[in-house]
Amino acid sequence: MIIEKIRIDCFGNLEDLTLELEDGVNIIEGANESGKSTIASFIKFIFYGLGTKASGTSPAERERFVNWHTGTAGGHIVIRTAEAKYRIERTLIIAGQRADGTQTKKSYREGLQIIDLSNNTPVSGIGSPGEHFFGVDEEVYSRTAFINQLDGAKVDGGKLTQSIENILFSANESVNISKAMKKLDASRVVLLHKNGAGGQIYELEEKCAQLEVKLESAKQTSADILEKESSLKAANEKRESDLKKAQKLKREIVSYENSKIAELFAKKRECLAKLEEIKLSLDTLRQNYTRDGILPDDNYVTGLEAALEDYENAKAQADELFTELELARASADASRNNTDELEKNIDRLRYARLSIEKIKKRAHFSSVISLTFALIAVLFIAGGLACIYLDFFADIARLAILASSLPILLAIVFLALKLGTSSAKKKQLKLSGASSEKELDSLVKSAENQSVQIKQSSDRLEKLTADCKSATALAETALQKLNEKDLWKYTDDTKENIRAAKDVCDRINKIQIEETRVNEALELLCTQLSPYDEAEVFRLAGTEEDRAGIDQENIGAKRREYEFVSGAIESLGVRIHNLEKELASLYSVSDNPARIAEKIALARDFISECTKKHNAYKLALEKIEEASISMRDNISPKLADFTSKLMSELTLGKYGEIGIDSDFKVSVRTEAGTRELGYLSAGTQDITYVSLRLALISSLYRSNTPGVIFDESFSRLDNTRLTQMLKLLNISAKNTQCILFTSNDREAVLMNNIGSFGYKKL
Amino acid sequence: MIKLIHTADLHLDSPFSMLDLQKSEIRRQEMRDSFEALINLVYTTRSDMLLIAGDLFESSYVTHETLNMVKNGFARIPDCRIVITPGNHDPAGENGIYNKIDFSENVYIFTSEDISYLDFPELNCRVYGYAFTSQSYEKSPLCNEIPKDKSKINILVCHGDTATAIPRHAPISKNDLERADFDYIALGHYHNTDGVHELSNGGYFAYSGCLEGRGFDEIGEKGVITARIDKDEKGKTAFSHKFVPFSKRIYHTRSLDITGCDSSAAILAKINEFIKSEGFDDHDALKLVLEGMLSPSLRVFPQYYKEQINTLFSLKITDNTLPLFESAQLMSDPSIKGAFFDKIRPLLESGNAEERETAALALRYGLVALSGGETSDLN
Repeated sequence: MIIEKIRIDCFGNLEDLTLELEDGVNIIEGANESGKSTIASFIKFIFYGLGTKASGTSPAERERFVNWHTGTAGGHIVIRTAEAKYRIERTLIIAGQRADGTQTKKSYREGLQIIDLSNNTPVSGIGSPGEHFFGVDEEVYSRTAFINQLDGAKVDGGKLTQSIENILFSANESVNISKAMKKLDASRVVLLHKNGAGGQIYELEEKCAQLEVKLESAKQTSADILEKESSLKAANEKRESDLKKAQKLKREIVSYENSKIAELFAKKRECLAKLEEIKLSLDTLRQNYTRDGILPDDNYVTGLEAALEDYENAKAQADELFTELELARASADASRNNTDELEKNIDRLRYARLSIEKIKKRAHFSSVISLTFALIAVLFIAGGLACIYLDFFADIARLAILASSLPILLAIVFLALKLGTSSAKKKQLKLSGASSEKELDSLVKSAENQSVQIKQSSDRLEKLTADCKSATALAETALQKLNEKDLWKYTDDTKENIRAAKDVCDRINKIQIEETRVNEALELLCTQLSPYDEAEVFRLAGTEEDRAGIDQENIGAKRREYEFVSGAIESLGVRIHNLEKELASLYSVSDNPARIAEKIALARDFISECTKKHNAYKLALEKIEEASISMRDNISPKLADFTSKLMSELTLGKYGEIGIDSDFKVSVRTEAGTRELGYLSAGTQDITYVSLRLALISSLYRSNTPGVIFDESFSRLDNTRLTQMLKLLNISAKNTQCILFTSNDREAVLMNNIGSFGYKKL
Repeated sequence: MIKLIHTADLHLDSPFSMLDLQKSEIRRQEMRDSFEALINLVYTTRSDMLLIAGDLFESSYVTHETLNMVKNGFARIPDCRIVITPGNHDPAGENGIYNKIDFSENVYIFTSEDISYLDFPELNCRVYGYAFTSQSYEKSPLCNEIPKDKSKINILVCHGDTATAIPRHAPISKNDLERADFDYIALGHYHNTDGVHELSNGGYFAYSGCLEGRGFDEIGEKGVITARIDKDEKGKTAFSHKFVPFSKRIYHTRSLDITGCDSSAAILAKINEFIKSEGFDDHDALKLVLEGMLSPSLRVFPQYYKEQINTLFSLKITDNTLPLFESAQLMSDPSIKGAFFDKIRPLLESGNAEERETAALALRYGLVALSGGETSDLN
């Protein structure tokens, strides 16, 4: 396809510019910033429009090339294809600008018209002239039809190969297939490392595994919480029940205990009341019984009683002595009359007694002698008999027996004497008037006694007389003392006074004793009650109903029960505390299992997405590899053939055979053999590169081949290399077109020596 | 006459799927709110009975807060008899969830796999039921005749499967339902209700469905069935019912063909238009499947579209598009892109959906890489 004319109405900083172009090589020369690149962009604008997206720091093409004065970009080109000539007109207008020049929201209106110049009719149904005429999209066109600066230093074999491959495969010199595959692979590896032990999928699987563990733990924690809450509830209910029970027991016990203490307080009050009463009684008593300021007391009574007793004793004694004295006198008088007779009787009786004594002595003596003689007689007899029996001095023995008759006789004599005393004694007794010795003794004694008595009476009478005198004196003294002591004149009668005083004292003492007793009781009660507050005690004692179920018999059992229940409450409290602690610990670590399950589900969902992506990357890599191999196998020969033709023509057959293998390694057959491209000169490498680029274009563009645009591509080439390049272009541009934009005149000067070309100076 | 409310499958504390964590938390609270609303409904309608046909809880996930909420809720309606049959997700048993809490006296729970009944003479009613005691119930619970007092209103509340014959979840056939001869059979297990059905014996049965949808497999309006049942002296039953919607959010699944959209903005606009035309708002959770053909070079960003749309409660977008729109150009692309597309195209036309999806994604990734773009932001 040939561009015959370029007409810029308004584009970027260019306005009203027309360029007529030739077939073959066209050189457009202009200084820097003269609009050369703008013209190149205009060509693309006509075929593909302006881009809407910014690129890096560069604004979108719309922003760059729409003229802000006019708000438009527009123009047309005239092209010639194998079939016809066309005029392609395109405009781009910014809408939304007010008449006063202020801006509203921008909008763009594009206009496109393709006129078939053979019949001046619009061609419809073409949305993109570039895609229609070239069969490639804007990206391919931009990447292939535009060749930027060649850097001779960098165009070596390896780079060239890479560059060709990139253009061929991706239509982008800078897009490297292997780089693309590396990017895909890198993205795939991000998802899952090749060893399967890394990447997002791996990490997510790990996370899922951890979450699964966490889920189980959360479920278990949740179950534990339920169990412990249930236990806690049961424990709390039990404790509540026990507390109520304990409170009831406590109330009963407290009520009972306090009722006992209340009784003590009541007793205390009674004591105090009693003391009051006692005090009153004492005061009354004292008041009633005080006489002349004297109130008898025990000492008084004791003293008075003693005095009275002394007096009475003394008086009684005196009276007694007087009575005795009287009797003694009477007796003494009576006795005095019987004294003589009595003396006589005494003599008689004594004489009788003596006689009897003598008789008795005699009798005794006689008896003793009689016995002695009897005994001697017996001895003689016995001895004699024995000797006779034993035939021992038997003669003497017989004598002895005979001799015994004397003592026997004597014994009889004395015995008769003794018997004779008996009658004597009787006679004496009779004379004395006694029936027996005993009686005689008694009569003697009695008479003697009588005598003594009479004597005694006399003595006694004397004594009594003295004693009476003495006693009378004592009685008088005692009476005086009594009168001195008898000061409390309740009556005139001392005894009555004493009785009354004693009565008063008794009463006072009783009252005082009672007072002491009550005080002691009160003191004891006060000591017992000192720790207690009375009002509080009565309050705690409550009513009978409060202690209805408790009494002295069961208070012990109630206390034990209370202790037991209190212990149970304490144990439950510990258990509840422990359960609450355990629950607090569980609550702090508990997590909702559903939330964790949802996290797992989301992670699994993400894993699934990542796995799809991973599989997609793998598939993309696999298919790109397949496509690459296929392309290499198909394209390489074509490229080699095209490039060889160009090179052969340019080098006059010197480098007529170019080899391009499936890896796009370029080799050149020379006279010396096949050489890799790197062995060739820089200039040869340049033209080989451009040949390959042109070969690529011929392979890529299936319909019309666009003119190749070189934008300041050769500024770094020296003249020799530039000449080579221009020759190549001259050859390749036959039946096609290339446009060189340059800022210096070298190309034009050198081209003059090569062939005809179109030239425009801006 | 008995006024009753029939519900089931609340699955309290079960995880919510297909939502982000924040939305799941909101749904969890809304589920609790729905439960409270149910209690309020019982209270305001002065219902005599609340039948819960299984799966009240999700046993392995239930928390103490939820148990206390339920317990307190039941306690607030002491005049209502609450009858519960444990299902496969909250089976009865020694370690079951129902043993971990003391409900108020108005709560009745079946605990045996064998059918038993509760007598409510004040209502002239007997409520029959059985319990799951494990996650499976592998016999047909209604295969034997169940003796009844026909003068009473006989109700069966149970968790069972009337749709499949697989003996895992108490299979109940239509014949079983007919033969059981109850005035009303309150079923649970399926989370969608298809209304109340009449049996040939004059009785009725229904699945109430769940109270709130929990995922995109539980689409449509959810709620409870309220009913009035009366029986005259001759034993003739009068039955009326109504569905009361409850769900705060309704789940929907839709497909949208975005063939021909040439930019993300166009796709976004089309999605917005669709949502508007369907009348979806923040009460709705939508799973939208994008289908159709797009240009191979057009990248689809479901996450981005989702983030741009905030009129719904939840939006999940799945890309099932194929990069085959106007792919002729790519087919004729002489570069590696064309060759790459050529290799992938057979997979794009595969009968396996997963293969197609992978191929579509691979094509997009490959094209980005081959265009010099960064593939790192594709992840």
